[in-house]
Amino acid sequence: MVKLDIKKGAYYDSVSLMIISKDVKKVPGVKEALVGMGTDLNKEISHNIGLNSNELDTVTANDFFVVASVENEEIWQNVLLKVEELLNKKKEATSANYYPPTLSSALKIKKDLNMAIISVPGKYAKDVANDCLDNNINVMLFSDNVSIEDEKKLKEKAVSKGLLMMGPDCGTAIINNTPLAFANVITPGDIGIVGASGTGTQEVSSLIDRYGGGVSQVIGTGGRDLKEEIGGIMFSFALQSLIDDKNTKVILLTSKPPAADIQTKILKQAKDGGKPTVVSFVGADMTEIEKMGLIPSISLEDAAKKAVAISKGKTPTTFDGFDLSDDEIEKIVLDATKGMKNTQKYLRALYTGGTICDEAMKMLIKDLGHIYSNIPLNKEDKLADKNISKEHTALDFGDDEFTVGRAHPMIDPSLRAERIIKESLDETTKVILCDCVIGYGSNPDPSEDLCDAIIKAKKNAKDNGRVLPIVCEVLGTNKDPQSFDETCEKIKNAGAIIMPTNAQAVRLTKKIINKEI
Amino acid sequence: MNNKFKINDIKIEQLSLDTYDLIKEIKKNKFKQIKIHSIFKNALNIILDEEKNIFLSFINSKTTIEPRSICTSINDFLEINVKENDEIRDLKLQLKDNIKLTDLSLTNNLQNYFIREYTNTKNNSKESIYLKRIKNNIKESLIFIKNNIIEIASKEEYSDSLLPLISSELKQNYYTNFIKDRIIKLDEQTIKIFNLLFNEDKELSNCDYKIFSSLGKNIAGLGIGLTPSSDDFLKGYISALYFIESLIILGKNTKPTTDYHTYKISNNLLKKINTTNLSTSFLHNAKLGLFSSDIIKLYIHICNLSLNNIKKDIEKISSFGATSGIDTLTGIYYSLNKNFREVYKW
Amino acid sequence: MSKLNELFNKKLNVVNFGIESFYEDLKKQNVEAIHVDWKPVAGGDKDLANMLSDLI
Repeated sequence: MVKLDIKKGAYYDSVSLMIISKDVKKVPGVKEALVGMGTDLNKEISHNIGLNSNELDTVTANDFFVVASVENEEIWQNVLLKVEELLNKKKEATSANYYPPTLSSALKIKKDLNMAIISVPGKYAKDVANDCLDNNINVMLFSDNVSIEDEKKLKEKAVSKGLLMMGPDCGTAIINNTPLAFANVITPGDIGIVGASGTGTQEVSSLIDRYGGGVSQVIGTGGRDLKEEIGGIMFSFALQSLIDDKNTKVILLTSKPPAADIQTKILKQAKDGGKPTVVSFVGADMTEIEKMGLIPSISLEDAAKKAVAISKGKTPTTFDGFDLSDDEIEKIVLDATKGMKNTQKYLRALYTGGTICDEAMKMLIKDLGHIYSNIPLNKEDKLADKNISKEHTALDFGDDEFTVGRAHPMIDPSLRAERIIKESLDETTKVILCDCVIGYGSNPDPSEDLCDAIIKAKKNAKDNGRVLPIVCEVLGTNKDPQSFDETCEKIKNAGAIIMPTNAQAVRLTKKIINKEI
Repeated sequence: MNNKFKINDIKIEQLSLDTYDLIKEIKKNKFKQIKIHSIFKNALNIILDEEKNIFLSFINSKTTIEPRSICTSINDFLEINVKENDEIRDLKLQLKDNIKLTDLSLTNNLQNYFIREYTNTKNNSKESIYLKRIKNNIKESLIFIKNNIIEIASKEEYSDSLLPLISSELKQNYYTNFIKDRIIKLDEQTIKIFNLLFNEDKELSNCDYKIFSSLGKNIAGLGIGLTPSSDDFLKGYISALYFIESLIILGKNTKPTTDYHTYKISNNLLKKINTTNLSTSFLHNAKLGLFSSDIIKLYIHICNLSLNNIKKDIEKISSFGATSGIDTLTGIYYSLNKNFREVYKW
Repeated sequence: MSKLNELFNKKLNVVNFGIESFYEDLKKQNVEAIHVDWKPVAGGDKDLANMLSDLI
């Protein structure tokens, strides 16, 4: 039997009509079908293929029709249901690539949203974050350029509702073992981390994985949380949740040293929480931490080792050496410096990760005296022109000054790579120290630009009668989308010295700088 | 549904010259009953005059600029709280000061292009070096375009389109089987006119274009879509006729569109067609020689033999709608290939 | 025990605003996620946004 359905004056987008046309023919029991607008020719062709219906005469060009030859009435009802289903999909998400334009339209499609990642321009970020909090959605705010007053308000609101407000300027978090934004794939485990710094958190979590441990939650707070103006609201809230979390047995806190009274407050909270807590406030005074019965660390590497030790029921011991033997290290230093010119004096540290750049400076400042930087330890060491190095220089390419109008160097590493080549042309450069961060968020092959630059840099030095060592740490795990081992291999083959952690890379660099030519 | 609502002060960022004129009419309150016709994610069509079938489309930067359309910053028209058939009172359209106006007349664009290039190389012979070069470029482009389109033809989603018309080796479908002879009849008539034009034959002035109206009636309105496949095909077909005619009269004085023989052909083609009102409006634009900026760019790139760009244009055009774009592309290739070969004896 | 601890026991259902690659990375890991094609309303002009609020 031939059946006809007419939708008068109805307009559907062509993609829907195409889908309807194909899907209707697939309904079991449908011998033939035609779908379209009621134009003379569509009616004519309908007739030609045996789909004749008297009612077809009543259809006009601006009406939509479906005509089909079916075995029985029941099958026709199935066809009609199918058509309705496909037509109603028009105004909702029809494909996985439908991107709603607002939060409210997203909520119509997915009702149980519980986490938002926000990376819209800073000017608008506050409103988007507020919107999410109002809808009981936890927030990870990657955007910066949000005022400190707004940050405070957002965090107070979040805490009052029991929600996370990670950021602004929070680039790393791992919640329920899901890496968010820039984060690495870490084995699940019982170490909970609260971090006020992006790459610091990445380094420490990657090393925890390397040393055989795992993480329960990795919560970021953004770089300003532990300042006076914010008062550590989110840090404290996150810490409490780890204290209360049955899956967290060891807690690790990492940040730049907080304001004094805030540090005390946080440490006391950790102490009262009763779980073993490793504290990595790089550069802070250890005594207060020890007095509280918590475990201080001298570097991110040390913090990771200690946390894993505790997690495995071992006694944490401070590590400040190398994985390789002293002899092996000596050999590396010798090879690296053999054939150097005596014009070569200075460190050029070129980082994509801010916290590890900061860690490098803190570890070297005593020996070097002054390290010029765009994120200097001392105000007087601020570089006048970020594009021109001065004596010992350490640069964070992820800092605002470099990223205005460009993607972050972990996504677009070309600027840092160019600088490596530039420094190789400077006769006074003794050693280049750098990082290569892999994981989600990062470039699919962050080693590519870096390797090219290393090869060119070493050639530039060689052509000029110099030897230029380049020391590099690859930050990540072997579960990250970019192969950790391959990345290390490539960079090594390009001629760099690969060290397993930032701390060790810095220590090796120190030896190279101190080596007399 | 008779909801009153205001589209107040939508800032218009870009529009075509032909639309500019239409807006001036709107501002003069010429249209009394403006209604919403259809709403899609990236387009909202309103009907200004039902009787005269005058449409206006609001689009966004995701689609190419089309004739009778206004480019706005509205991301998703489905989000706007309006329904089909809503009446619009108070349609206020605010034109930005430095608004970008695009000329979507294919012949104007070609004239400008030819004048720029041509004056550099013209000599006194009938077939200038320049024209020779363009003809070669067209031949090579046609081969390139055919290969590209055939690649696309293998996709399942285009199995009900008119794409198989470009080569008898491709698998035909109900629609192509139905229509191909009718299109051949159309070809015969257009080639006749163009040969007369090319040879500057006096017989041209005696030609009767009326035959085109029964041909058009037999071609338009076939296929799936709010703009049926054969309509999109015709749109592409007509654009190629304008292109070839522009070549023929290359170097002569600018003429208004109503003097083009393609106009006379198209005008008659569309006289008795039966198809959706929206599609009729689009065909009307084609008749006037107005096409989307992607289509105009394609022709310029064909003259230049800029293969990279041709490839991009094909991708952009073919991705429009479900089969609308691919059917338009089919019309362009089919007509250009057939008519160009016949006229230039290739 | 806060609401946050409840989140630790739930499946993440993420909404992403802004950088599309963050969303794509989540999809690669089969995380429940949706991307919002966020743009400032009416091109960022606040007055226009207020005027258009009737529509949206």
